[in-house]
Amino acid sequence: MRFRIRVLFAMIAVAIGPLLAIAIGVRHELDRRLTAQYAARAAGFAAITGEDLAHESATIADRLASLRSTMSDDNRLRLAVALRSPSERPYLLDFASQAMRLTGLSTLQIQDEDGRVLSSGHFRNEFDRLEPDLPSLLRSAPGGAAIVDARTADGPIRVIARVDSLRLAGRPLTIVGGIAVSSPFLRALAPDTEFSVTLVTDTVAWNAKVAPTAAEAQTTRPMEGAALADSAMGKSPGRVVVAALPYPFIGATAGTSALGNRSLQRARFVITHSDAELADLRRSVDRWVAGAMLVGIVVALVGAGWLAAQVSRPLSQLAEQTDHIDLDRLDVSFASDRTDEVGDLSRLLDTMTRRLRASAARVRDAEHRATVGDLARQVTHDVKNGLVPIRHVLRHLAQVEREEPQRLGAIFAERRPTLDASVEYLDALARNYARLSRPLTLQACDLNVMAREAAACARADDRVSVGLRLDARAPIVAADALVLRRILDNLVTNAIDAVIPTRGTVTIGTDGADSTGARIVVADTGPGMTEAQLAQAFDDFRTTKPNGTGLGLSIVRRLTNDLHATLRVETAPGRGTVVEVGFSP
Amino acid sequence: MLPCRAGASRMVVGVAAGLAAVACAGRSASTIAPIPARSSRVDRCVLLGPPPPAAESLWIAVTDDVVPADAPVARTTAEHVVFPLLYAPTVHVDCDGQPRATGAAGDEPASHELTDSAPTSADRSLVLPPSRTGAPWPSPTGPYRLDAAADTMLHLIPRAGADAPTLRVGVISPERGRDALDAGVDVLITADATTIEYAAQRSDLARIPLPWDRVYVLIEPVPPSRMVQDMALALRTELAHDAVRVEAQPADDRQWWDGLGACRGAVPTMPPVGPRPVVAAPTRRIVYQRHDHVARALSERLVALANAGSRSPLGSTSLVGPPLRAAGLDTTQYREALAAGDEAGYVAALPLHVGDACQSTVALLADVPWVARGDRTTTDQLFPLVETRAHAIVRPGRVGLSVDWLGNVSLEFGHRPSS
Repeated sequence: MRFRIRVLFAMIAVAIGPLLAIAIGVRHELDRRLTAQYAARAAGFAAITGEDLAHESATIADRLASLRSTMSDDNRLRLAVALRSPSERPYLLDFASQAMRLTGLSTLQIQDEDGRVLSSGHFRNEFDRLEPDLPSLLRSAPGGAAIVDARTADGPIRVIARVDSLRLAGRPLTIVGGIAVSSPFLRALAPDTEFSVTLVTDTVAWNAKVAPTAAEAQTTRPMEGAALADSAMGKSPGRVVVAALPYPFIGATAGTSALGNRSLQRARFVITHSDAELADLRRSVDRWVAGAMLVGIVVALVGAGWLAAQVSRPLSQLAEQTDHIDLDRLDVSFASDRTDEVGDLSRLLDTMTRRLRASAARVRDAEHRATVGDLARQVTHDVKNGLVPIRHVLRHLAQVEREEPQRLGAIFAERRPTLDASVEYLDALARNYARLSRPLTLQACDLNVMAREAAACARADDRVSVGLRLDARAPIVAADALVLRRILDNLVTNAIDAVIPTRGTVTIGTDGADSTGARIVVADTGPGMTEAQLAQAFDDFRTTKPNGTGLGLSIVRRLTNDLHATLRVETAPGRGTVVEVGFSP
Repeated sequence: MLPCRAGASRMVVGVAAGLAAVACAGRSASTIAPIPARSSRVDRCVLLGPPPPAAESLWIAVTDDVVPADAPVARTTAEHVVFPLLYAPTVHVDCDGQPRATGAAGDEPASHELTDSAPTSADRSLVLPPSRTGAPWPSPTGPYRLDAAADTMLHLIPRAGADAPTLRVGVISPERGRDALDAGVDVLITADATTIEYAAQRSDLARIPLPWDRVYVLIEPVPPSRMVQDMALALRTELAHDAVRVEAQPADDRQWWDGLGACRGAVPTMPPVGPRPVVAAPTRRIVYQRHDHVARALSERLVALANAGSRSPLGSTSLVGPPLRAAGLDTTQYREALAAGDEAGYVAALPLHVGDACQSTVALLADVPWVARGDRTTTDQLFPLVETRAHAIVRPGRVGLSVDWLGNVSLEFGHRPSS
C-alpha cells in the first residue's frame, strides 16, 4: 500500500472517528432528552385527562342532584308517578327528554323501584323496559361512575353515567344520567392536537380486589396502561400509546333480558400521541448530524489528501531523482532548502551522491588500470593459442626426425599448412592488437572449412578424440573469419580441457542454413556444468581450471556479440556441454 | 270512481267517523273543544261556522309540506287545506261518503275540469312524495289562483269577481306553531300536541279536530310476521296513546288495501304475479322518513319492544332477535330502501281514505313493489298501527271550515257587506 494511501487512511480514521463518535453521542443525547420531555409531557397530559374525567363525573353528579331537586318540586310529575294518571302519562314520558335537554346531559333515564323505565330522555319510547341492574352496577362502580352503553333507537351510545335516587310520592326512583363519550368529548379531552384519547372496552371483569379507587382509577399509570393498551388495541401507525386510564364499564344487553345479565367490566381511556413531531425532530437531527458528518468527511478527505500529497510529493520527487542515479549519471542534485525531515533526507541523498561521484571516479580509474592487465592476459592467452599448433607440429617433426628421418620431408610438407595457418593467425592477431580496435571485416565464411581448421589446429591429446559432424549443405555465413576462428579456438580448447580428466570426445559440427539461420556447434562429453556454473561461465576471470585465465568464454561472448551472432549453451552435470553459435539468415 | 275505505264493516266506521265532528272529537283527548252540533246531513260536514263576513286577507299556517307535484290530489294535511282552494274536484264526496254535484253547497264555484297536466289519484304515490324538483303547479281550477309561491309561503288570490279574501299560506315547522299563533295567524293546521295544548289555554282560539286522515303502517318484507299480524289492540292502543305525540287512535285491522284480491283482473295496471323476492339477510333496521315525527316515534317504540327480548310484547316475530335499530332516511334513501325490501321493517304513512281502493292499491304497489307478489291476493305485509289526525286552530270569526270524505278542508267565508 502506498504511503499516500496509508496517510489518507490514517487521516480519515483520525478525523472521522471522533466526528462519528460526537455525532452519535449528540444524536443519542438529543433523542434521550426529547423522549424524556415527551414522556413528561405525556404524563402531565394523562394526569390532566384523569382530572378532566373526574370533573366530568362530578358535573354529572351535580346535574343529577339538581334534577333530583327539580323532580321533587314538580307536582305534575309527582301526580304522574303517584297516581299513574293517564292524562299525565305523556308528561311523564316526555319529562326525561326535557330534563335531559335542560341539564345538558346526553342520557337520562328515570326508573321506578322495580327498575322499570318510567321516562327516558335518550330513548323516549323505551318506556316500561325493565333494567334493574343498571342502577346497582353504577352504585357499585368505583367512584360511582362508569362507561355505559346506553340504548337508543338508532343504536347504542357510549356515555359516562352516574346514578342518583330520590323518593317521590312514596316511591323510590333512580335517575341515571350521563354525558356522551363521543368524538367531540374525546377531542375535548385532548385539546393538544398531538395527543388523542380513545375509549377501549375490555371483556375482562372489573376485579374489585385489584381495582383502584376512584382517585386511583383516574391516576395516570403510563407504563402499565401503555402495555395494556398495546395488547388490546395494537399500535396504530404513527401513534404511540402513552397512558391508559382504567374506567368501569357496563356493556349493552340488547336483544336479551336485561335482568342481571350485566357485570362491571373494564374500559380504558387510551391516550396516544402522534410521534410525527418527535420523528420529524429526530429526522431533522439526523439530517444535521449526517450533514455535519458529510462535511466533516469531505473536509477530512480533502485535508488528508492535501496532507498526504504534501508528504508524499517530495518523497516521490526524491524517488524519481534517485531512479535516475547511475554510475554514469551521478550529476543528480538533491539540494533542498526544506527544514523538515524530507529536507534532511534530501540533503543526505545529496551527500551520498557526492560520495558516489567520488567513488565512481576512483572505480573508473581502477577499472582502467585493471583493463590494461586484462588486455595483457588476453594477448597472452591468444598468443598461447596461436603457439600451441606450432609447438605440436614441431614436436611431431622432432619425433619424426628421431624415428623416421626419411619421412621428415613428407611430414613437414604435410604439417606445413598448420604452421602457416598458425603463423598467419599470430600475424593477424598481432595486427589486430596493434590496432586495438580492429573493425570487423565481414566476408562469406564456410562454416565447414572453419570447423575443419579448428579441428586440425586442436590440441592433440590421447585422452581426447576430436571429431567433425559437418552439414553437407555447406552453410555460408557473413562473418569476420578471424573473429570466428578465435571463437572456435576458444570453444574447442575449452571443450578439450573439460574432457581430458575423464577422457572423451569433442565434436565440431555445423548445421545447414535454413529459415532459422546457420549454426556451428562445439560439443563435448565432459562433466557438464551446473546452473550456477553456467551463470558465471561467461564472466571475466571465471575459471575452474588450475592454470586457466578465466577469459576464454568471456572472449567468446564478446566476439559473438561483435558478430551479432547468438550464443546458446546446453549443459547439465554429467551430460557434457553443447555450445552453439548461431547466425541469422 | 266511488269513495271507498275498506269493506262494508269498515265503511260503517268510516262513515261514523265522518258523520259528525263530535264523533271524531269524542275519540280525542278531553281537552279538544266540542264541535257545534249540526242538524242536517250537510251540516255534519261543517266543522266551524257559520262563515263570518270575509276579511280582506287571511293568514294561514300549515305544518306539513305542500308539494306542487302532489296537486291536485292531497297527500298531506296541509295539502288537504291548500289544494281545494286551487283545484275544484269533478265529483264532490261529502263527509258521509255521499257524492254530490259540485256547487251544490252554494258557496263553491262551478265545477272545473282538471287540466291534462293534472294527474289522477291512480298515478299518485301513496307512500312516497313525488320529486319536487322543477315540478310546476298544475293550472288552478278552484276558487283561487296562485299569485306567488316560495318554498315556505304561498300567496293566493281569489278569482276575479269572487268575494273572498286574499290568502297567505305559510309552511312552518310544527315547533313554530305557538310562535305563529302568538304572531296572529288566523288558521293553523297542526298535529303538534304542544301547540294544541297551548291553544287550549287561550280563550281567543278555537281548536277544531280535523277528520282522521292518515294511517301509519308497518310494512314488513319477508317473512310476514304472524305476531305482528296478530298485533294486539292493546299494543296499538299503547302506540297511539304513549308512543306518538299527536292525536292518534289504534288503527283498524281492515284497511282499503285489503281488497287486493277483488281488484285483480279489474284493474289493467295491476302488477304481474311473480316470485316473491328473497332477502337473505335483512338489515336489522326499521326505517322511516326522517321528517315524519310520528313515523319516527312508532319506529322507536317498535325497536324498544323488539329489543326487550323475550319480554317483548312483539313475542317471537321476525323483528325480535339481534339488536334492531331505527333509522330515519331522507326521501331518496327511503325510496331506494323501500324498493329493495332489505330492511327489517318500514313505517309509512298512508291516507286513511281513498277514492278508489283498487287504483290506490295499484299506486301503493308501485311504491312497494315486493308487496303482494307471488300468489298472494292480499297485502298482508302491511300492518296498520295508528290513525292520526290534525287540528285546525282558528281565530274565531275569521273563517268557517267544512270537510269532505277525502279529508279535504274547505275554508268558507261569508259575504262581505256591499259598500
